[in-house]
Amino acid sequence: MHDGAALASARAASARRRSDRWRTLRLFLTRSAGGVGLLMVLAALIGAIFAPYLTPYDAVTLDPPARLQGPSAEHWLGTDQLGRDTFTRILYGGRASLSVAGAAVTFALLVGGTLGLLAGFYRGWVDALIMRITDVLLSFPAVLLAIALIAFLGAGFTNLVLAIGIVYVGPFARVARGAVLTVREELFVEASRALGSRDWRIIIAAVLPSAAAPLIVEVTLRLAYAILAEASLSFLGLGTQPPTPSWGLMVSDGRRFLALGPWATIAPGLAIMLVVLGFNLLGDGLRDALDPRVKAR
Amino acid sequence: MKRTIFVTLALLLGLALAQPQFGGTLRVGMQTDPVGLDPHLSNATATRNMLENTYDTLVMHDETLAIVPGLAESWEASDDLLQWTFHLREARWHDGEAVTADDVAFSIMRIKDPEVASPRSGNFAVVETVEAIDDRTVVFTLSQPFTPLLSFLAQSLNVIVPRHVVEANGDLQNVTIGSGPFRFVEYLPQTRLVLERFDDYWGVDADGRALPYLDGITFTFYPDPTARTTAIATGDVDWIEYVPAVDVLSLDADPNVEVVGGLAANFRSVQFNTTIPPFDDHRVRQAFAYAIDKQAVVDLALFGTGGVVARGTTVPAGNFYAVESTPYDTRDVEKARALLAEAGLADGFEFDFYITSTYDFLRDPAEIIQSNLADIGVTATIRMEDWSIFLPNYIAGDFVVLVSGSSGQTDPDAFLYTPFHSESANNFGKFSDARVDELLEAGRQEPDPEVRRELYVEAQERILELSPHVFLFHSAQYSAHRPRVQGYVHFPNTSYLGFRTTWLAN
Amino acid sequence: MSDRLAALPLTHAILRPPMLIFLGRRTLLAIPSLLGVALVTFILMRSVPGDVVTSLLGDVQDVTPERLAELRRMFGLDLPIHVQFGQWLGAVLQGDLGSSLRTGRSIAGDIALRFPVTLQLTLMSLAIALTLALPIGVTAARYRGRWPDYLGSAFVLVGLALPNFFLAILLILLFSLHLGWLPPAGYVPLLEDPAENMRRMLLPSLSLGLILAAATTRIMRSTMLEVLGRDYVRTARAKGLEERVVTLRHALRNALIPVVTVVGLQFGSLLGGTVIIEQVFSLPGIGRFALEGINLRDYPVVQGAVLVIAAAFVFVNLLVDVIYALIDPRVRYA
Repeated sequence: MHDGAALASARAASARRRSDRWRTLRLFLTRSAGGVGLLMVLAALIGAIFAPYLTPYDAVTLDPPARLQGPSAEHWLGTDQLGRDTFTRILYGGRASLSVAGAAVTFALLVGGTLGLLAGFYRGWVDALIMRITDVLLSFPAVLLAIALIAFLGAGFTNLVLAIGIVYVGPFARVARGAVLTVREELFVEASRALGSRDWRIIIAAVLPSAAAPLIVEVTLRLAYAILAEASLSFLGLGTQPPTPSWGLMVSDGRRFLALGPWATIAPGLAIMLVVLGFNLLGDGLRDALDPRVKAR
Repeated sequence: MKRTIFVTLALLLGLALAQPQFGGTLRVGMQTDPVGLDPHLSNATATRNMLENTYDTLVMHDETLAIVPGLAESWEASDDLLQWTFHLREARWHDGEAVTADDVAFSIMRIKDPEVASPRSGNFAVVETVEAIDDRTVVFTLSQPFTPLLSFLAQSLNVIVPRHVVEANGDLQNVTIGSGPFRFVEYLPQTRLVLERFDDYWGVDADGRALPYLDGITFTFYPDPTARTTAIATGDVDWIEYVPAVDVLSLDADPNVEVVGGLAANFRSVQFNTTIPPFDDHRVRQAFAYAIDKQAVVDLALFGTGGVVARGTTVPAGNFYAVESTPYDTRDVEKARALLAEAGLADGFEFDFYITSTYDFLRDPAEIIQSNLADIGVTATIRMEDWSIFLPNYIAGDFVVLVSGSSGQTDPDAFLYTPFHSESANNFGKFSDARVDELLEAGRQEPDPEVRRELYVEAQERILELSPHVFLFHSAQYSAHRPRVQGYVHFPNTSYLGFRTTWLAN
Repeated sequence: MSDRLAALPLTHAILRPPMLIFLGRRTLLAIPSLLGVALVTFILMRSVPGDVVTSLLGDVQDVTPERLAELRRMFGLDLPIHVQFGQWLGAVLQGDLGSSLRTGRSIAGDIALRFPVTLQLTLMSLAIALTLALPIGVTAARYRGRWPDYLGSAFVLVGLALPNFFLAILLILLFSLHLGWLPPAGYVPLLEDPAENMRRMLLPSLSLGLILAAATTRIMRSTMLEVLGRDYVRTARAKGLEERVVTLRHALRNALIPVVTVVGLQFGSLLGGTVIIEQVFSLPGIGRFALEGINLRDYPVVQGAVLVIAAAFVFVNLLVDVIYALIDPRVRYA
């Protein structure tokens, strides 16, 4: 029963939020930039998921006579040094880039978000401990930390995800903690605690939804960073390993043949740029729409 | 117009008839930095190539890899081949001291010394003592006849070093005093290494003029191949090493650049752990040898110019000891399938194919081999790792099938005994055949080249039959230079001793 | 005039006792985090599979398991890890960073050669970033919602999305391979030949600087917008001052405060960026030193390089705090 009262209070809050949602969606869609970003991100996702249906070529099968050809009707973005279709490799390369970025950010969100929620909710020594750990994480230059982690863990999908994910635990912890602190003192939380509701229920029912908006924005922007990080590591030969295509690796491979076939380097580089741009636009759009303090400019 | 033609003709004639000119500094674009400057402590090609003209060896290889005098003017062996006496020429260290027999004895014992931990301490395992009889005479005593001794003495990292300098400095990492034609000036990591002419060098050219012709050599480093080829094409440097295979043809077409080079002493092969089934069955190994398209590997992974298909074993074609007929010359999928069926593996199988990601010439063939083997129903699961992880597993024999190779060999013993003798520490695939062992041991003790050749030919035929490796190719190595660089000679053992006779035309 | 910057006697402020205490405290606080970085690096490096010995031996024909074990023993790699760390730390406290396991060269000496390269790259990138970001950001804010603003936004968006290595390659493609104006790689020390040095450092600095400029422009624009809305700027306008004067003299000066601090904090990402850019342009910087050390498992090199990088990082953060404290009187030296 006591729990019921707390939940009712939380429900009222979420009803308030629901009425806000229309405003949010409207704001988001009317801001053209956010919509454009969403379209770019969706295009990359569709390209990666449906790659086999979008191209007649295979991403790893070699075709020696077609080596380093320029863009043509058969090969829209030309071919690489082993005769593989660049467009096809970009589609498949999106799988590596997006899945690593997605998994790494999910990892950072789960670990960092949880740590931040706990820190913000309990305060005290839990907060102090968790924030000290994130401080240490944040005081390493991100690229160097990821490189050191990869050297330690070895290359490969899981390790790449871990290396990038660990780097981003700190930022997520901070965002989650900040969000919790702002709603922590709100009346319904105090009330439900007074009524003896269990901690995890309060977190789930009240705090989590309030922290969701800034976390969603953080996720979108961190995805952009994570794609850049995966590309950088792969470029240095520490990320995705051949023959699996990945954009950073394609830029690095193509670089050996820059004078002969610049398209093999430029096309994957542009792919990285466009997808990162898409996530940035989407993130900015979401932030504008979700943050009540932002008024229409 | 006429005048221009005349001048051009005169220039051409002038060049053709030109005497080597003295002077000028050669600007060399290297791929990487030296790995330490102590020649005895390093096994890096880069260290060797930048220092081999600052130091001297006791005897040397010429560009045909024949043994010629170095610091030793002459030498003779006792009848039982256990005592080798070397007579030194008059030579000076860069600090002015005389080169003595004692320096020679000290140098060889330093390489052998386990506390020094030279990577080549094994080269002189059979050397029991080295004694200076007088200032200019030194005697090596061997525990058994060992014909490859001269080749190891000519290896240009097994140089003679000044005892007094080593003893004063502990090692030679921070000081370089040799007796070669160039003296060391400075080294700035990842920036440059500078050498200048040593006026008291002992070498002379055919006309009796003191070598070297150059006033100095400045090495700069371009790890990125595109940057290296751009540097030679724009004239930022006069000479570059390791022309990327893909650029050989385009650079050669550039009138301002000449490409020199060709086959280098090395081999690259698919290697089996012959103790692990099904690869303990030579028919399975033969099936691989028939199934793998060596020509495609060279054409595709090496752009046709980066290597030459192996026509025999580890010994490259053209070598005096090479066998140039192999049953596996042309791809034969049917025969490969038949051999698999004979071995009871008609339905194919799957195996762990271990590849290093560090070297493109070892990495790129893997994908081609993988698709070749798919044609005989064999699935190669590629596992790729960094060389620093790959190598310890390789030498521990902790692999099933891998692609590797080695380079810089000059003697057939290094090409064959090292990877295939059952007692060799470097027989990582644990291949073992009594007849091969017998022939390789005989080769080590046979001084007559003709007889020795027969022994090695038989050994290689046997090795081909048992197929402990599938021999893929021998890497080619090209350097490129501006036309004003004259007199440089390509050495097939990837040595840059050619700088000793290089000169610059005005 | 609301000129807070000019009103501050900077040198005097630094020497004031509270500031000295603040500096001392912050410096002391940096020590445990540097120790932490050193320890983490040490443990990470020793846990990495593979070791330097393999890269030392080079060609396989000369390698045997016995020889590997012998070399490990010679380098002390067979000792327990805490003993190794103790030995290393003891030496570092005496100012000895040891020598490279591969080349035998003194690490402190190599860092002294390499640090200036990275410092120059960082400073030139910062200079490029500020030179571009200030005018673009100010103009965008002043013409908010009009075409200069849109152009500025496009610059920001593209800059933030470009990977630095890709920008570097595009610059090489254009200026080295296509136009042939600048060399694609190689380094000449600054003091030896300043002109040639600049020619070789320009593309690397642009690769980092243009991207940093985008991030800085974004901050510049938003702070300018905020400052332009403040009372004293409105007052200045009301007094009938010319818009250009208002923007430059009143708004910009105050907007610079957060920009300087944020740019200072960008230093970390800039250091990370130099690792990649030094690699692309073959520059002998400290980032490439660390990266090669990691790849070749040259432990003392990695430890020395990371320690110096972390110290630089901590120092810049301290510097930013000091500047912030000097600029903003509300900050106490607590």
